[in-house]
Amino acid sequence: MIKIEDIQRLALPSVAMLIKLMRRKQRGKKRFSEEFEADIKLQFLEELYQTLLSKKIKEDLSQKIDAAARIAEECIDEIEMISLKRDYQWIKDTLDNIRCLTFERR
Amino acid sequence: MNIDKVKKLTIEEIKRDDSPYFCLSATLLTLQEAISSIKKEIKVTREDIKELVNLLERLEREDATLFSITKEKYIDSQGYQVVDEIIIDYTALFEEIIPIYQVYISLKDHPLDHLIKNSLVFIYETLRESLEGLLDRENLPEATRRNCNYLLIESREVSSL
Repeated sequence: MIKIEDIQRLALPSVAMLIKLMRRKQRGKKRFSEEFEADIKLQFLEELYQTLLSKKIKEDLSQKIDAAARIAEECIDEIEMISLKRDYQWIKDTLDNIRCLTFERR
Repeated sequence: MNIDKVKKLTIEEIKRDDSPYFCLSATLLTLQEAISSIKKEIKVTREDIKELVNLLERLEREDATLFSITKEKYIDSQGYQVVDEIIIDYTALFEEIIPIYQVYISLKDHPLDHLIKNSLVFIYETLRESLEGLLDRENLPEATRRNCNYLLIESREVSSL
């Protein structure tokens, strides 16, 4: 049985990396398109990151982890570099797998 | 194999904008957390798990070094020595983690199956690109060529898991 603490620890690296990659793009020459609303998405991810860091989580994380996976998926379309697309794809797949774990716990 | 124990990479270090750690380090950290979660369920010795965790902790930092050396136009002999040590560590990682993964998926309940496999495939594909770049270099020492080719063979197994 996967514990909630395991889910937190497993999700943190991919959420942290998603924030880092998105921030770097947003500060670079080729920023995200305006319709993408990167700042709103980054704010949501920062909140999720802080929640994952907190010691006692009572809420169901599945919807938030799913939303983070969808953000990573949308990032793939905003990127041209193949290796970066692969990075976002790993983040998306990892968060999808972790979201499934939150369902298995129910 | 480089046997030095390194300070564990923290999640804050990975996330920091100016840190040299990227997706491969995050993947290795995820694998480390996955191994911590499943270690009680799999029947492998505590020493095997400890060795694998030490290796993952070392590679989480070493990957940034490998990335920084391989993007240079010219790599000197000292640089290749460092590259060799990291390649040997990656080879040891695949040799140690694949049998543990196989034991894990033979259990009745193995919820982290996809997460672990997906991470191993990502490491394999990302590394393969770096190694192919290295193998194209003109001044590549014979020992590094051998190590690269051996790692490519050892890591290929993940695509058939």
